[in-house]
Formats: sequence, C-alpha cells, structure tokens
Amino acid sequence: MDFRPPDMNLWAALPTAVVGATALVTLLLSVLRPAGAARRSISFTLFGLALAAVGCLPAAIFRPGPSFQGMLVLDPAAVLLSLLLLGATAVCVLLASRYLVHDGVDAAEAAVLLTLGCAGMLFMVSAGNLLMVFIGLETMSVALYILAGLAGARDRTSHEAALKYLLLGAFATGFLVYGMAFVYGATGSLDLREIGARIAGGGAAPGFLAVGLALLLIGLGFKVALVPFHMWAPDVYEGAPTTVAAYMAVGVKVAAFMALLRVFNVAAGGAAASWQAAVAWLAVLTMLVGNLVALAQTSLKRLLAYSSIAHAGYLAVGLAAGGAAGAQAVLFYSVAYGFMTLGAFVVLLALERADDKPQLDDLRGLRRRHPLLAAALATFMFALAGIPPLSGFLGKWLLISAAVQAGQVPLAVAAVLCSAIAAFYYLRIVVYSYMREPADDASPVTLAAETRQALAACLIGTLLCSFPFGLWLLSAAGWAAGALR
Amino acid sequence: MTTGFAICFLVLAAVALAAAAKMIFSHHPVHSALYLVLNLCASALIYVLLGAPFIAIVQVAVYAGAIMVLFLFIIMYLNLGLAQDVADARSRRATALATAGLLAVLLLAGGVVRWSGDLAGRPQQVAAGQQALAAGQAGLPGAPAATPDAQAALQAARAAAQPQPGQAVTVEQIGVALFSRYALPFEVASLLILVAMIGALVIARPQLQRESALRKEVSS
Amino acid sequence: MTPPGLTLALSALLFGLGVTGVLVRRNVLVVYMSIELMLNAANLAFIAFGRLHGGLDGQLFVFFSMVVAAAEVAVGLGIVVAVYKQLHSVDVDQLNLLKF
Repeated sequence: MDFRPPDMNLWAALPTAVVGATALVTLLLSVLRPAGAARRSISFTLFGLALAAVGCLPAAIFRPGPSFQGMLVLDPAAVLLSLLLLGATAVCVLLASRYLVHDGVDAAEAAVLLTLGCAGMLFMVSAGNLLMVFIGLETMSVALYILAGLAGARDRTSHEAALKYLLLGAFATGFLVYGMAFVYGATGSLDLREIGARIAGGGAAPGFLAVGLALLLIGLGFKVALVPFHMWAPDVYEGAPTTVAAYMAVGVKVAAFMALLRVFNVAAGGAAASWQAAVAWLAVLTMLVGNLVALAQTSLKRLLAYSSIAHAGYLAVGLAAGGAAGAQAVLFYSVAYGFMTLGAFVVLLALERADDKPQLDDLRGLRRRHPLLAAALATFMFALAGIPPLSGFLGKWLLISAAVQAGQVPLAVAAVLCSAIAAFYYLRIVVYSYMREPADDASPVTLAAETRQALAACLIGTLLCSFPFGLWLLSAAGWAAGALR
Repeated sequence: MTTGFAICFLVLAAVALAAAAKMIFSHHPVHSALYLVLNLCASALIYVLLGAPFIAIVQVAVYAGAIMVLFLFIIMYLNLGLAQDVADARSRRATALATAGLLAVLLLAGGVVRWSGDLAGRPQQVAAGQQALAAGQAGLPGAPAATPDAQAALQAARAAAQPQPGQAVTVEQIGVALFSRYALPFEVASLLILVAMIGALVIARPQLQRESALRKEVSS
Repeated sequence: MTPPGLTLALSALLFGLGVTGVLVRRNVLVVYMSIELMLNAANLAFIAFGRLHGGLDGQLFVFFSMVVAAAEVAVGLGIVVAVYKQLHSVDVDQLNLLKF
C-alpha cells in the first residue's frame, strides 16, 4: 500500500500551531525556571497570542483553501473569528493574571489552560470536517471543565460548577457524536464540503440526515445554551471564577456558533427545510426565556448569564435565516457580542469583592465612585441593548433584515419584541449606576492596571464595531460570508 | 447474512442490552461498572462481526480496560456504599423513563421506518452523491488544480487503499490513514491529552501542596 | 432487516438506555457511566455506517472518540474526587445538579 504524506499547507495551520507552541513553551518555562514564572508566563502568552494573530494574516492574503485533506479551512470567516478569539483569550489571560492569581491559582497554569482552550476554539472555527469540530470542541471543553473548578480551594461553588459543566457537557457530547454518526450515515462522509455536495446533489438519505441534524442541534445547543438546553449556564457562570465565566460566555459561544454555521448553514444548506423551522423555534424560545428571566435577576453575574443565553437566541435567528445574509449577520454579531459581553464581565470583575458576588445594588452611585467605569458600563449596556449607533444595534439590524429577507417575518418580529424587553434590564443597570445615590458604606472602586488594559481593549473593540467603523467590519463579514462554502 | 452471523449478532446484542439495563438499575456502583464492562466487551465482539477488529481491540484495551479500571478505582477510593438513589428515585424514574422512551421511540420510528428505505437506496444514492461531488469539485474555484493524470492516479490509489462497503478494515489501512489523511486530528488529539494531563494535575494540586507543607512541618 | 439496520436498532436502544441512566440515577459515577454508554452507542452506529459506506472514516472517528472519552474521563473523575472531598457526597441532587 502506498503512503501519501498529508497535504500540509502550513499557512493554514500557522495560527493554531503558534497558539499550541505558546502553551507548550509557557509550560516548559514555568517548570524549568520557577522564579518569576508568573509574570513571565503571562507576558510570553500575550506575546504568543499576538504572534498567532499576525500568523492569521498570510492566510487572509494567500487564501490557502482547504488543507490537511480538507480538515482545516482557514477561510476569511475563520480568520475573522480567530482574531476575535485570540483577542478574547488575551483579555482573559490578562484578567487571570490579576484575579485568578488572587484566588490562589498558579498564573502559568491558568495561562496554559486558557491558551490550549483557545487552540481548541481555533480548530473549531476553522474545521472542515466533523471530526475536527468534535476534537476541537473537546479540547476546548476539557480545558474549560478544569478552568471552571480552578477557584475550588477558596470557593466551594467552583468545584460544583466544574462538575455540573462536566456532566452536562459530556451528556451533550453523547448527542453530538450520535448526531455526527447519523450525518455520516446519511451522506457517507465526514468532510463538510463533501457532505454539502451530497446533500445538494440529492445523494443524502433524508431520514438519517434529519435525525443526525436534530441530534447535532441538541449537542451544540447545550454548548451555546439554547433554551431547552440552557439550565446549566446560570449556575455554572455563577460558580465558576468570573474570568472563566467571561471566557465561556464569549469563546465557547462564538466557536460553537461558527461550528453550527458551518454544519447547518453551509453544509446542510441544501436540506434547510429539515432544520430551519426547528432552529427558528429554538431561537424564539431562547430569546423569550433568556430575556424574561433576566428581568428578575438581582445578581449581576446571573443577569449576564441570562443575557448571554438571550444573545445565543439572537445568533440563532441569523442561523435560521440561512444564506449568505444570515451568515454575515452571525459573523458580525459574534464579533460585536464578543467585545460587549467581555467588557460587561470586566466591569463585573472590577466590582467584585473577596467574599460576595456583586448585586444590582452594588452599582448604586457608580458614577460618583468611578466615573470612567460607569461610562464604560453604560457603553456596554447600551451596546447589548442595541441602542442605535453602537455595535449591538448594527448586529441586530443585520440579523433582523436577514430574517426578513429569508421570508421569516414572524421570527424578525419576535427578535424585535425581545430586544425591547431586553432594553429594560440593560437600561436599569445604567439607571442604577447613574441615578441612584451610593449607599453610605459604599467602598471606592479602584482599578488594577490589568483591568484598565482589559477594559480599554473591550471598549475599543466595541467602538470599532459601532456605527462609522462598524461598517467596515460589516463589509468584511459580508465578504467572509460570501467565501464560506 | 449467514445464519451463524445472525445468531452471534443476536446473542451479543441481547447480552449488550441486558448488561446496559442491569448497569442502570444496579444498587451498587461497582456492579454498575462491571455490567458496563460486560456491555463494552459485547460491543467489542459486535465490532469484530462488523469487520472492525482493530477498533474491537482498542475498545477492550482502552474502554473496558483503562477507563473502566479508572472508574472502579475511584469508586473504591471514595469507598461508596450501596447507592440509595435507585430506591428513592421512583418519581424521577417515571419522568425520565418517559423522556428516554420518547427519545428511543422517536429514534426508532423516525429512523427505522425510514431506515429501511434509506438503507435500501444506498448504492444509487452513493453513486448520485459521487457524481454530484465530482460536479461540485469541478465547479469549485478553491479546489486544487490537478492534472487529469494525477487525479486518475489519486483515485486509483484511493480505491486500492479504501475498503469497499461490507469489507473488514485492516490495521495497516488504519495505520496509514492515521498518519496521512488523519494526521491533523491525530496532532490535535495529542493537544487534548496534554490538556487532560495538566488538568488532572491542577485538580489534584491543592492536595499535593497540603501534603508537602505537612511533610515540611514534620521534618522541621 | 439488514445487518446495519439491526446494529442501528441496537445502538438506538443502547443510546436510549444511556439517556435513561443519566436522567434517573443520582450517583454521579453511575451518571458518568451512563454517558459512556451513550458514547458507546454512538460508536456502534459509526461502525455500522462505516460498514455500509465502506472506507475508513467511520472506524477512525470511533478511534478518536475513544481517545476523547479517555481524556474526558481522566479529568472528569478528578473533578468528582475534588467535589467529594469538599462535600462528602456524589449525589446529583445534593449538588443541585441537573435541575430541569
């Protein structure tokens, strides 16, 4: 039998290879030279992530196409989301160096786990094969199971959150693998482009395909917390260290939505009739439940958890709309959502005290206690609520117009109504921080250097996605969506 | 399907199902683990029947061997007694059985009824799919440009290397595939194992630190 | 029914039993074993489909899925032990787990 070496297009693997190498070198350095390892491993990890971002550029220019026998597809959409994920990881590493270390976690360990989780996410967004989706997802998930339990020595709920995330994550994996088995059975291939070609050519068994897509939707729905499968999210976000919760809310959701986009919108686009209605119903349910339950929350962390559930619903609207317009909306909204949610979590971390989780009342008079933080919080909340010039508005506008273009007017109406509900609790946060008097014993808020840098990064990101600059991102997302296949 | 094959298959399937049911409803976690081992071994034999001897060996060595030994080790390490939950869980059992039953019925009904059709139409569909694929690849701008000769050679090599439907897969074929077509997932899997290794150490770490602190105190 | 059909029926039943185990049992370890049962059912379906289609994809996916399961179990049991040391319980209800 003749042996064919794999078609190794190293340009396509460059970003992921750099991220993996960064993790390995950080690990080795921290073991070989323990003195001063914390500071060094953080700065080296940040350097490596920046290098990986630069490593995305050749792919954006040379457009390597599917490589490693179609396993890895670093197309423009993957480059766009890889850049976002690298940025989000860098922000989380920065935050971890301050807050996780405070919880008694070794800085190098946290940085290595965050980086390896990021490698898994990058493999997921550039996966050209169901096997790569699966292994990328598991690399990301295993890293996050551990990260969720990192504060276990100090906080009892951290280990509980890890266990809960693990059990439901593994349960979801069961559905995911079974779904992949049926999709493979229906089409005879694991390669997403071949699957797409067979579905489009009518060579797919419809019964198997429907069962497989339904199971895949359940499996990935758990990961992005779509509504019937969301019950783990608030508890896990609350129990996990806030840095890790932010990483889950942004990284996992963006990576898993890209996988959903590749499997459903692109590969199974020819069989849209079999999944579109289901995704649309899940989207409506997710937006409704997420937003309505968020109204009743007083714990800021739970509120953000339900807000991120609701945003999974908005992203699912783009998925249900389908086509290039839907893909463009999902890509744009993923980037916008990433920055604004990460920013909201950074503010939450800045407000966190050693022994209690921040409540809505802790925001009273934030304008006086720290005007800059209050202004940043207001920006993120306005963006999340979708107030006109900001990124959230552009994203929702794209999603809703994609739904209308696809003829799904009821879905668009539901999205508008749910955004109106959502505006209420986002604006309430702004009202608390601007119009309520601070409590007498309110402590002054001071920001650490790392928090300031992270906040600045999220703020710049949000503003770059907002009106004048956002149009550039909008056309980039449109270009990337057109190149998806 | 020969009669011998059918008898072997049906016996193994019955064993696997019975073991799975016993696993779920055993009072003692150790019994559950042992029944799961039985289920995994029966599945391994079914893999052999289905022409997957390598996977069968891996199943016995990794799944029934390593993973289940880990489970048994943890059960005994934690020294768990009889599980009370089998007796207490009547009400939960009703709802859960309803849910799972519904799922199995949906899978069977949505699947099996249409499976017969799906399975029967297989060869034509594969041919149609391959035609569509060829048409699709011809039209793709990103597809690597290859000379007709090279493509024909590639397809001939593929046909030689790929087992046909119904054929058993040899270890050699799996080995070659693992280091050519599946080289990238193989590397990513090594990253995954690295994550798991670091993770297991990180989780065990507070314990290790406490122990080393204790040892220092004792020695000083 | 053809052998793939029978194998698929078996795998659907095993998967259903696995889901039942996850939902019925409260002992974390037995829940985790039920999840392994679900994965095994999925692997069985992959082997059956692999035989139906020919080619190596099905069997190699099963190979990787076993690698993943092993890694996940190693980490998962580590977390179970850590939780047990804090709470002295592996009961899903006491952990407020799986609240539907």
